[in-house]
Amino acid sequence: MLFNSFIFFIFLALVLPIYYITPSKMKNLVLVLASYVFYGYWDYRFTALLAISTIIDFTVGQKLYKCQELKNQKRWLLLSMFSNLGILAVFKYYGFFVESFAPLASIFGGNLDYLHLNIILPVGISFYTFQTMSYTIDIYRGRLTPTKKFIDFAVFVSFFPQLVAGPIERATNLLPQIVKRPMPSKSQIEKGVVLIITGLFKKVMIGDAAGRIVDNIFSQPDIYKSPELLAALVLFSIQIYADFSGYTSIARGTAKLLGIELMKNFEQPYLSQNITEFWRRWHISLSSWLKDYLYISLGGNRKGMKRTYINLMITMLLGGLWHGASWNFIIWGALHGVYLVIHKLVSDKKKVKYGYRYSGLLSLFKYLFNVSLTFFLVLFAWLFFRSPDFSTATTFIMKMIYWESSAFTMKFFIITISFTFVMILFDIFEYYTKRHTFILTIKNKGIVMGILVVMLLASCLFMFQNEALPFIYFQF
Amino acid sequence: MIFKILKLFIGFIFAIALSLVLLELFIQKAEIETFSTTDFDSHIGRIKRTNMNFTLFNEGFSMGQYNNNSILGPDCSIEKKTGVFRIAILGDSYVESFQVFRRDQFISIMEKQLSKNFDESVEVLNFGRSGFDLADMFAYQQNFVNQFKPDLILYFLSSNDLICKQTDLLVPKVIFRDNELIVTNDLFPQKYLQTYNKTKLLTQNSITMQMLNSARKLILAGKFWPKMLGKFYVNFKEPPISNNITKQLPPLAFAIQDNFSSNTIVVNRGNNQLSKEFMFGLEKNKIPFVSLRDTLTVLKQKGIDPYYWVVTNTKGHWNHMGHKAIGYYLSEKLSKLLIN
Repeated sequence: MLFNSFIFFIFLALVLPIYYITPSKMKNLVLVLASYVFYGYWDYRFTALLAISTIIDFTVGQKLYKCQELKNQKRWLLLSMFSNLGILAVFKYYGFFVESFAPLASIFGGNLDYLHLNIILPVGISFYTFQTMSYTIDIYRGRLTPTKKFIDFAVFVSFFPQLVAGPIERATNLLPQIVKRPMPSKSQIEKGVVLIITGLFKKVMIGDAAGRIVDNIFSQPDIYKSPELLAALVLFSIQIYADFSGYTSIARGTAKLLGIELMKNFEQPYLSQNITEFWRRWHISLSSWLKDYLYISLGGNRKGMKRTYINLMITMLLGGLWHGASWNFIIWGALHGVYLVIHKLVSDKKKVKYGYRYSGLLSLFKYLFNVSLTFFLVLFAWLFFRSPDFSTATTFIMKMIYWESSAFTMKFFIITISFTFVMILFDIFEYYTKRHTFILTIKNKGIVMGILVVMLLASCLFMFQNEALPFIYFQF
Repeated sequence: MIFKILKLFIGFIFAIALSLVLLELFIQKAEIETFSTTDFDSHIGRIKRTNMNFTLFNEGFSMGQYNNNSILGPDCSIEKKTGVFRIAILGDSYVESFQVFRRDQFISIMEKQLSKNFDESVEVLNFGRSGFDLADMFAYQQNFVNQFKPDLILYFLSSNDLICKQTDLLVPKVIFRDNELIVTNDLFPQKYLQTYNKTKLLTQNSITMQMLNSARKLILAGKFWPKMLGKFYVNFKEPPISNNITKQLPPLAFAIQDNFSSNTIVVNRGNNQLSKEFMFGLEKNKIPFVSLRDTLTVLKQKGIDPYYWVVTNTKGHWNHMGHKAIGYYLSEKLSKLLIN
C-alpha cells in the first residue's frame, strides 16, 4: 500500500479508531494484523516471508539470550545472519550474480542460462531484514534483552508505518515502546498530522512532479539536449530527497498517531558543508546502521589509518550494494567511499563541521562554497545511482562535455529553480527551528490550519489526477 | 473568547489565501500543471489559445507552444511566404503528438526531409486536435485551415474516425441541409456555451481551478471510486460488450469524401484497414492514399513497439521510434507522389 494513495488514508481511518478502542492487551495484535494487510495489499504471498523472518529471529533471540557459551551464541547468531542474508541473497542478489558471472563463465565455455530465474523482489526486504538483524546482533552484544512476547516482536518487524522503507529502527528504541502499547498524546497527534501532510506534499507535489521529468529524460537521454539532461539530474537530486524524506515524514507521523516515536532519517542533507556531514544528515538510520554493525565490526578507526580507509571503502561499497543488485549502485557507493576517504585525508584529525552559525560575510561565502561543492559531489554520484545502466551515465557525461544548446533551456532552468526553492525553503525552516514540524511554531492555529488545508488540497488533487508513483526506496 | 475565535478565523482565511497564491505560483513556475489551453471562437468553435506555452505529461512528456495563430509550433503568418511549399496536417491526438517534443515529431522530420528533397523550403503545419473525427477535421478545414492556403492537405484517419460522431459540442457541425453538405455554427448549445465562457476565465487564469476542473471531469467519467479504493475497487456496472458495432459508414463520411479538395491526401494512421466503400470513394475521387500500417508493422516485427511507453509502462500514442519511422516513411512517400 502506498502512502500517496487514497486507499492508505482509508486504511488509516479504519485502523486508528480500532487501535484506540481495542483493550491494551490486544493493541499489538491489531497492529500486526493491520501491518500484514498493509504489506499484503502489494502481494499477499510475501507476507509468508515476513512471517518466516519474524519466527526465525524471535526464536534465535530467545536462544541467544539463554545460551551461556560463546560458541553456541555464535552459532545462533550465524543462523540469524544466514537466514536474513540468505533471504536477501536469493530475492535480491541472485539474478545480479548470475548475470555478472555469466560472461566469466562463457570465457571458460560455461553457460549459466539455466540458472536464470525470474524472482520478484519483495518490497522493503532490505529494510526489515536489516532491522531484524540488528535485533539479534544487539542481543549477542549484550545490549538488549529479548522480548518475551512473540506478538510484540511481530509488531517490531512488521510495524506498517516503517515496514517497507524505514527508518530502520533499532530494537532498543522501538521494542520498549511497542511493549508499552501507548496511546498518543495531544502533542503527538498534532505533530503526526503535520508530518503526514507536509510529507505528502513533499512526496507528491515535489517528488512525483519532478520525477515525471526525470523519468522521461533518464529513459532516453540520447534524444534530450545538454541543459535538459543537467536539469533532470538536479531534479533527481530534489526528487529523491523529497520522495524519501516525504515518505519518512508520513511514516513518523503515522507512528505518532499510534503513540510511537520513530527516529529522524533526514536533517537537511543538502545544507551539509562536507561529505562526512552529509552522511550524518542523509538516510541517518541506514548510515548509523552501517556504522554500528559493519564499520565498527570491521575495526572502524581503531586499527590505524590505512585500515580506516579500507573499512570506509568496504562500508560504502556494501552500502551501495544494499540499495540494489546493480553495478550502478556499487559505483555510487564507491564514489562516496572515495569522497569520505579524501575528506578524512584532507581534514586530518580536525573536528568535522556540523551546522552553521553566521559570523560575518566571509563565513557565509565560505559556507555557501562548501555547501555547493558538497552538493556537486553528491550530484555527480546521483548520476550513477539514477542511471539504469552504465551507457546512460556515459551519455550524460558526454553530453555535458560536448554541450548542445536547447530551445527550452530557460524553461528547464525555471522549473529546476522552482522545485529547488520550495525544497530548500522546507530545509531552511527545519534548520532554524530544529523541528520537522516547524509549522507548529506559528502561534495562531488558524494560520497553521490554513496552510495545512491548502497543502492537503493540492496533494489530493495531484494524486487524483495522476497515477501514484511508488516511493523510490520501495525497490530497495 | 469571541475575539480568540475571530483571530483564529481571520488567520485561517489569510493563510488559505496566501498559501493558494504561493501554490499557484509554484505550480505555474514548476510547470506541474498547465492552464487550460482551449478558448472559443464564434466562427471556428473550440480553438486553442494563441501564444500559449505548455508542458504536458501523459504516456510521455512534451513542451511546446501554440503560436500566434493557435497552431502547434513556432509562429507563422497566415500569408504564405514566396517559395514556401505549405503542408497542412489534419488529424486527432496522434497528429497533435503531445507525447513528444516537436523536434522529435514526424512533422518536424517531414519538414526537414522534404525541404532536403525539394529546392523550395517546406513548411508543415500541425492542425491535429484531440478527439477529432473526420467531420470535425472537415469543419476545421473549412472554417480555419483553408485560410492558410496550404498546397497540400493530409487527413490522418483511422477506421473509427469515419463514423463521424462529432461529440465535441463546441465544434461546428457538418450536416446535410437541403441535400447539401454544410458546416454550421448554429448548433452550439447556448447553455453549455454560456457555462463554458464563464468557467474558462477561471481555468485559463488559475491552475488550481484548472486542476479542480480536471478532477471534476474525472469524477464525471466515473473514476472516483477506482481512484479511492485502488485494488479493492470492484466494478459492478461493467458495460456489456456490445456485438452490434456498426460497420456501416454514415452517408456523411462519403459526402465529406466527395467534398475533399483536390490537394488532399488521406493517410490511414490506424491499425485497421479503412472500409472498402471509403477506399473505393477515394479511388473514384482520385484522392491519393497512404497507409502507415506496413511501416508500423515492420517496426513491430523488428521488436520495437511504436505504441509502447517505457516510463509509464503503457500502450498509447506513437512513441519516438514510431514518429521517426512515420516521418521518414511519409517524406519518402510524399516526395514520390509530388514528383509524379
